[in-house]
Amino acid sequence: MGVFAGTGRLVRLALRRDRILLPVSVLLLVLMTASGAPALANSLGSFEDQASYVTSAAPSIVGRIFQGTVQDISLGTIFMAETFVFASMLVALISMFIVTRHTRYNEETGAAELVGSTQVGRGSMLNAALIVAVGFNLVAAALMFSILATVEALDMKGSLMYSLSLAGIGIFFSGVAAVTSQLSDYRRGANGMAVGILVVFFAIRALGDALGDLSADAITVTASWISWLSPLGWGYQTLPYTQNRLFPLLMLIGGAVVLYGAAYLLLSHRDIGSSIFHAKSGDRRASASLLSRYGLTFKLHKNALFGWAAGYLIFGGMMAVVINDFRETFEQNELFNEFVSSGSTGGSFMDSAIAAMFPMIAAMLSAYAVTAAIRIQDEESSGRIEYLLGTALSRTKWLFTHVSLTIVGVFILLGLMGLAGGLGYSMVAEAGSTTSAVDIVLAALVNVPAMVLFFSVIMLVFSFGKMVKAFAWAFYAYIALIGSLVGIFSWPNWLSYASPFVHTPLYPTNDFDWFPMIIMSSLSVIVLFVTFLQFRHRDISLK
Amino acid sequence: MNTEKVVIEIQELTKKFGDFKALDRLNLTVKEGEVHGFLGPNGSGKSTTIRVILGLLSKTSGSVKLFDEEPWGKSVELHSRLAYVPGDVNLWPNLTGGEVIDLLADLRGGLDENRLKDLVDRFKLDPTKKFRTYSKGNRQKVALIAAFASDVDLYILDEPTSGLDPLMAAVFQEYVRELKSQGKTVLLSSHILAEVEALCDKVTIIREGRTVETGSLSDIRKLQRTNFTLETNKDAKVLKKLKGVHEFKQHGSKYSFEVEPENLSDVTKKIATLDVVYITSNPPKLEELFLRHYDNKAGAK
Repeated sequence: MGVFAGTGRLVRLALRRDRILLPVSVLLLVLMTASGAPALANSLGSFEDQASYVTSAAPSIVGRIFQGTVQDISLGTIFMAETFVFASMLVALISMFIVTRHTRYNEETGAAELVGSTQVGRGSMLNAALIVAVGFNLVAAALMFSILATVEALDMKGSLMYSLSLAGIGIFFSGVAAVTSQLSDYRRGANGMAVGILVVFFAIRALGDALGDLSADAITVTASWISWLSPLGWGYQTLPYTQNRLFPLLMLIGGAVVLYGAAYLLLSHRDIGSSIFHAKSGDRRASASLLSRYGLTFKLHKNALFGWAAGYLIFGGMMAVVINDFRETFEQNELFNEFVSSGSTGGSFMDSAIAAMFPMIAAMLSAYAVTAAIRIQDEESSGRIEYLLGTALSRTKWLFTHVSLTIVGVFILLGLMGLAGGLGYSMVAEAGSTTSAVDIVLAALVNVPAMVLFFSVIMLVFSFGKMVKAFAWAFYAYIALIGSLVGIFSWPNWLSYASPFVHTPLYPTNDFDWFPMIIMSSLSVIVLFVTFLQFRHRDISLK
Repeated sequence: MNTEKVVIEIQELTKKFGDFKALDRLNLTVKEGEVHGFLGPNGSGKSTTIRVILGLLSKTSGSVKLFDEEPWGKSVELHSRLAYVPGDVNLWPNLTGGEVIDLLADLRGGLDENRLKDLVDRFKLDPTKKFRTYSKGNRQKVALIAAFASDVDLYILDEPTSGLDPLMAAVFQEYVRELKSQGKTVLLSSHILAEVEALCDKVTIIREGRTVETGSLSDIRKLQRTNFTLETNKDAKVLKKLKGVHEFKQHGSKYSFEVEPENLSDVTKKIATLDVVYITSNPPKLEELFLRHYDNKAGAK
């Protein structure tokens, strides 16, 4: 029996455990990348549109941070700019989570101990996790490629390179998580470390791209050497659709092999369940802040909230770039501008674009509300609620702290996104722009009622105590995707009406419509009222 | 019996989860100052009963009184008078043991600093470690300290010592005795029968959601068969045919059997005629009592 005995069985076990999670992750990744290509080919089909996109992205610092280094005037370059940076972060995150879930988490729950006592080698669990992670990346890449291959404006070789580069990044970061899983003694710690490394690599790549050289014709950006210090930079610098370089991809694979080797080495030098870094001791007594009314609730939501804040800020920054691109593309075009202004919103084209974009982004980012709701539900399903409700804490008070904190979180996050968008835009925009930073902040904040309503409905389901996770993610998938699906397949509009974000009034406009805001806020109050009543009258679900 | 106040009074309690009857007309009475053992096989409904007492679960029918009040919907006022240790000790992984103790005691309405210090010393707990790094026994210590550090009237403990080592289990027993001497009431659900025998005045045994036995341990014993082993020069097989004799076994000249309480007198008269060389008789051990209840098909009563 070797070190890797039983790997095959463990792979099958992992696939069985993640039979829903993995397909959904693949689908999410493909939907957020490849499926955007046909739409892009439609909207930016002409050479002039493409030229104007590229010439505005190439010199922009913010553009380079979030879109990377553009190469030429082609749909391939624009597709890269629009999707690659975001997709590479996503694929890295999913790959890392797969690895920690099937290695360190198993040790944390004790499953590894039980499995390890059977005819399974010491390295098998890590081995199985890495096989699943690599498999996930290859399947996702194959699916992505098969969709991109149907888009005529994108050449096959480039599309293959695009898909493989993303897979390469995913595989590299599965190696990062394999190492951090050996270092930290629990999953959240391993994830936190891995995400931290990802963020640092993002920053290095962003800095390197921002400092890149612009060609004389102001079209091609050559990344500086700093970008080459980051695996995210390697992934981008395969430059699909233009240069199709193979060696950065080989660097990713080589890096992954080194990381895998390091992980196996660390694994062979530690006991099962232990780690290279040990847990630090903490406070002997609870601080006054932990004992305050929101103390525990805040502590439970804090890390997630900070993580989301970073995400909302990044998206805010991206919005600044996108808005600026729009401005540069269309603001000079008087005729077009007048044409759009004659529409119902009554604002400029810029205003309409902002007003249309924010609810879509907010719908996508409302995954925050899902994760917050699941965190609340987890307090119950883990049985921890039994301790709390066994004290003189009432159910209503318990639920109220969680719900109110999440709603405050919605305000803060959307506010942060608006601020990042507004400040970013005022930095990159040229003088004379009709859109103010305040407009952008408000355009983000008008989505608060919709997101609160979305969260309230999930909590209503929670108050009945059944199927919360499944419902929350299904509802989220609906609101995040229905807008684009209705557009792509020309479905009737009413199919999207169950998404609160569809009803967010357009802002900025000349005649802002308060009515939907008031209706959605009142609905939230009613839904939450019923939620609190119902939660008092149901059995706590306990093992 | 004296007329003490009743702390927990459950009559004909039925609890259904869908079609599944978890509790079926269960009865339980716990009086003030009593250490009450609550026993039953896995899945017999002990934790469910406790959760109904706490108002975490609703009842389907019957009556439940905690401190003379219906707990469902009134739990907050009632909970300030009790401390509860659930069976499953799974708390916030990133809080330290000390923080968890403070937090729970604070929510219960405060803790006694001297007691806390004493408990941490006696249970030898390092309160600075993160909860996720504690072993099972240490997790149970955290939960127990959090409960015992609160000065309340009633302690509800659901299998609190299953992970404790014998030394710590002894500390636990000491502490329960101290609570008892202070007039506190304890409802102790446990599988460790020696512990129940050592601590409890009263015992309630349930099975498949029904109470099958309740009363003081000595009363329950009186109702049970007595074990005999004897050695005789004569043939003792005649005993086998007597009314109320069970589990009759012979090993050469040695015999063992059990006798129903109402037939004791007849059987001992017969034994006297048998030229006995050696004899022992024992009241039933709690363990035998349980095994009988746990094994039997239907409720024994």
